[in-house]
Amino acid sequence: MRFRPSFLAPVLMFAIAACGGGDKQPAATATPAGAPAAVAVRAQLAAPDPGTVTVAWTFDLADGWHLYGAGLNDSGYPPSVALTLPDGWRAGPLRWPVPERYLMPGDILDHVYHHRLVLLQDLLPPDGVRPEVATALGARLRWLACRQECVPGQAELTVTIPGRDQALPTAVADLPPFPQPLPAGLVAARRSGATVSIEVADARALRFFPDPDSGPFTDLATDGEAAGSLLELRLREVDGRLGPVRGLLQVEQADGTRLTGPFAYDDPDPNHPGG
Amino acid sequence: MRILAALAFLLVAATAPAGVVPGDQAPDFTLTDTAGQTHTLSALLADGKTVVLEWFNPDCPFIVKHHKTFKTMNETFAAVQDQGVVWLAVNSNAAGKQGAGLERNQKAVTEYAMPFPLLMDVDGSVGKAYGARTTPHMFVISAKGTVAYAGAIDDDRSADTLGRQNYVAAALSELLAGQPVTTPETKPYGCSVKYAD
Repeated sequence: MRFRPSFLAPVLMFAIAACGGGDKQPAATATPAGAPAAVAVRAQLAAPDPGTVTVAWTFDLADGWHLYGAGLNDSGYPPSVALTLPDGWRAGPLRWPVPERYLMPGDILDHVYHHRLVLLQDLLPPDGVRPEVATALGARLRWLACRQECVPGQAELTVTIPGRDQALPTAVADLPPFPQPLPAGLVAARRSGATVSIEVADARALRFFPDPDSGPFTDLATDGEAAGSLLELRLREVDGRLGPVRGLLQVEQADGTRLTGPFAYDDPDPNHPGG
Repeated sequence: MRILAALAFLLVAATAPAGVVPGDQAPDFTLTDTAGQTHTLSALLADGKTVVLEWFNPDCPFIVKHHKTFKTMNETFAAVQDQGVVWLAVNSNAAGKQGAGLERNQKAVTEYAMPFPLLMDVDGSVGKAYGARTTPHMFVISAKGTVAYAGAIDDDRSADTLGRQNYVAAALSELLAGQPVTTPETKPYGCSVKYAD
């Protein structure tokens, strides 16, 4: 079954029954009749501590398709999750894994995920402890999946969180890399005029994934990735001011390992007061 | 004031500037529409026209949103078409890619009841000259030939919900009244323009 380009993909509805205990993580996959094959959504539950349930919203993508990251992109929009929570429950923000640069003809630059996207979200029960009885919550997931064409989709899920007597795994399995704080002192940054220079000694390559409110930049398609230890991001003035540099910095080390963590440089430049 | 400045950055945040930014001279072009008629920007400007360029892909969900689900483009044009405004849709998608090809676009003109020409930028050169990145990506060109507005059609970046603020309508209203355009640049949204590899 192929994803038919249409204005709005059908709403997928299914329930995820979280079966506690055992080695198998609570998970469900559903591709209802008539649903497109480009994206299948599922959820996994974990309980890192008695007072938190972590849900992993997982989007499995057919070959060639991508979903958009939450950072600055030229096109598309990132997936979203709208929750309907029982009384007293609270939800934390979505946590996003490390995206990849996706450069298209015309220097159109997006930051995307291929194959699989996992969004982590902490759910906090009332009174700081999982209730004795099972709890159901609703979620509407929305996304835009693209390859040559783009197709919006959405799914409605019901996730059942088991009562506290039923064990949950302490962590979600098979997670992709998520950003982690970079080691202190690893990165040196300075601004000269409208250029922010980022230097990491002995790096094989550097990549910058901007936040949505970062920049604007002169040419991030060119500047956002550099071989070697120096990355130079040129900012574009708007009304005589320069915007902040905020996002993720990826350091590819000499041995090929990659460290990706938050990076911010928004000190005002003396030549651009208020920047 | 700082809040306004921060808002300005958020509106225009982009990985790269458009090929043109507000205040720039609009690059001249001559393109042929789906009916075989040629359109030259400089000739339109010589006639005193204000020109709106809309980057277009008939099969992009965001174009469907603004041409079919809502009649954003047709209605925005209808409000100003008797005030010397020319609206030109432009398709820069390369042959073999989504939404490309004369036949598909001729059909789209009928399907969407487009009251303005749809120009075929087969080699993408006009799109690249303007820095068109998405469909839609809007440019408003003053009768003096300068870019008065570049960016999104409205402030809702989804593929199914209409925004509350139509930036192009606002820019046209101010421009035609001889006033400065309050918001000359926003971040465009939509599908990527499918340029040739």
